[in-house]
Amino acid sequence: MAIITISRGSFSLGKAVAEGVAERLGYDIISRDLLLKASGRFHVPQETLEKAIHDAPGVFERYSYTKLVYLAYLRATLTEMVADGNIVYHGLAGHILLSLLPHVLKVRITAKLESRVARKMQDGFSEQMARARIIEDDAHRKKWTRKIYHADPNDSSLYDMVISIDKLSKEDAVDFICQCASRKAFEWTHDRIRQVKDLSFACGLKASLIASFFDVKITCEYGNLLVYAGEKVAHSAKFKRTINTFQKENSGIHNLEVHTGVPVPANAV
Amino acid sequence: MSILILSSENKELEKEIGKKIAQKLSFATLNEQFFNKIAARHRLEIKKISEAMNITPSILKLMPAKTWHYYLSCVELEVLEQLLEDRCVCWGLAAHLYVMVISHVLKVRLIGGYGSVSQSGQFSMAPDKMEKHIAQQERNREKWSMAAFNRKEADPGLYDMVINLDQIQVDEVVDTLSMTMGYSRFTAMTYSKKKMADQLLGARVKNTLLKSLTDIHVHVQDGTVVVTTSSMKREKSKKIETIKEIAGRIEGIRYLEVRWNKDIITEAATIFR
Repeated sequence: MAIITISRGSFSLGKAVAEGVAERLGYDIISRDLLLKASGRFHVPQETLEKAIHDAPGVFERYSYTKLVYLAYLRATLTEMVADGNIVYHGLAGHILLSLLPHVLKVRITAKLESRVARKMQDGFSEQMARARIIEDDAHRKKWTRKIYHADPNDSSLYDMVISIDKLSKEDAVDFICQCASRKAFEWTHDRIRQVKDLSFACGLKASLIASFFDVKITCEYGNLLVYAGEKVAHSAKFKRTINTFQKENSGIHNLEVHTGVPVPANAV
Repeated sequence: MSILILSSENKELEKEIGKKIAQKLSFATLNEQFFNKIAARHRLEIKKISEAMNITPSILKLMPAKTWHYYLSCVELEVLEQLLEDRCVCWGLAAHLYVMVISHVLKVRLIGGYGSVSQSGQFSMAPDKMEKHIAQQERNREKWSMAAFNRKEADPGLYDMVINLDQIQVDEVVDTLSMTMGYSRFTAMTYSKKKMADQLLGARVKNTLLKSLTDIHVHVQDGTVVVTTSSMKREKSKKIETIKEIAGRIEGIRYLEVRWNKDIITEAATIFR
């Protein structure tokens, strides 16, 4: 049992690899279902969520935090969806949305531009058009990751494995990933199930609070939620109401504390 | 059979993995120890070869750019010659930067894994200091690889696979790579050997020319050699003639073409003299 995220550039055969891995291991596969579920849970149109996770922020969006609010919704939904393990996620930004879980196998599939262009041309695009679209898409991804997470999507250190589908085939990539998923580092232990559950609580509460209280940070360990907020926020009635409702709605939470004026841990969401 | 080229900033793990794979597959190894042979064949100092492989030339450093390029070309030439004989695991010789698009060569970059190295006591640094040290080391390597081969060492596009050793264990990497090396597509074929021979010819031409000239770039396809160089306009014909004369003596060239570009900077500098 494991959680696998597969990141890819467009037309790099990442989807085919993800499907191959899910089929071989008998895992569930998530991609656009995330948008559908998040859209239903937080009442935001699917297109808006897709834009938030795909397009780089525009000049005005950089200061409005809208994208970060939608990302918190997507993260809360994804952590809930993967909580039972046996999942292959090949949608956008999986390696970033689940970056706080070290035992998630994070894979990137790459391919040479020429082969990606050839694949896009099979959809009826001219070579020039196919090349332009792929380059534009890559630029969007790069800009998005830079602006929101201050990272480069091509930075190999974000992943456990980067596989180039040129000399190596799709089947080889499936073999490598399946082998790797069975390794000890990615095994699904009780402690790791607990970690995913904890992250899911933290992300869930963050998603409930973020629209009104953007700066609030949350950690969760063994079902104990610690909320880090400013003095003013901590005393607001709306804030208290929101966290109380969240605690009542989620049975696995043992304790919920609000901390003010203390340093926020690095693993807070 | 095939060739495996490893690249990593984590020299300890790179060596450990390289050795284990070579042992498992009964392959030869090619690493820094090969400097002895290079030094003997080209009458160079081993210390200086090692220096050239690690330090980027600058005004303040002792090794001039011309010598630096020549030393690197000697390493490139000898490594390519060795790689013609396949069944080899190679690391520590920057071969991933000059062995390009050869189908029976698997190029793998290993990243991370500093946790296991520090646990073994090989690094006696505090974690934050070690992080800074690694970041600095990576910056230096990028500067070096850009100056030497105009390629970024950390660019994942240079490799068939990048493996992060923070979560994946050394033995697991050894198993995976040993298995991959057994795939039939990594068997040396006539066309891939020919491609390797072309790269060797290019390295030989470059090495011979760099003995007396500077600013030399060589491209070879099917024995056709294209040498690109630059100089001031008044030296154009002399430089082209010299290149043709020197390179013309090298065996294996079917056709030699010299392309010349104007060295605008030197040209401009001499106008005001």
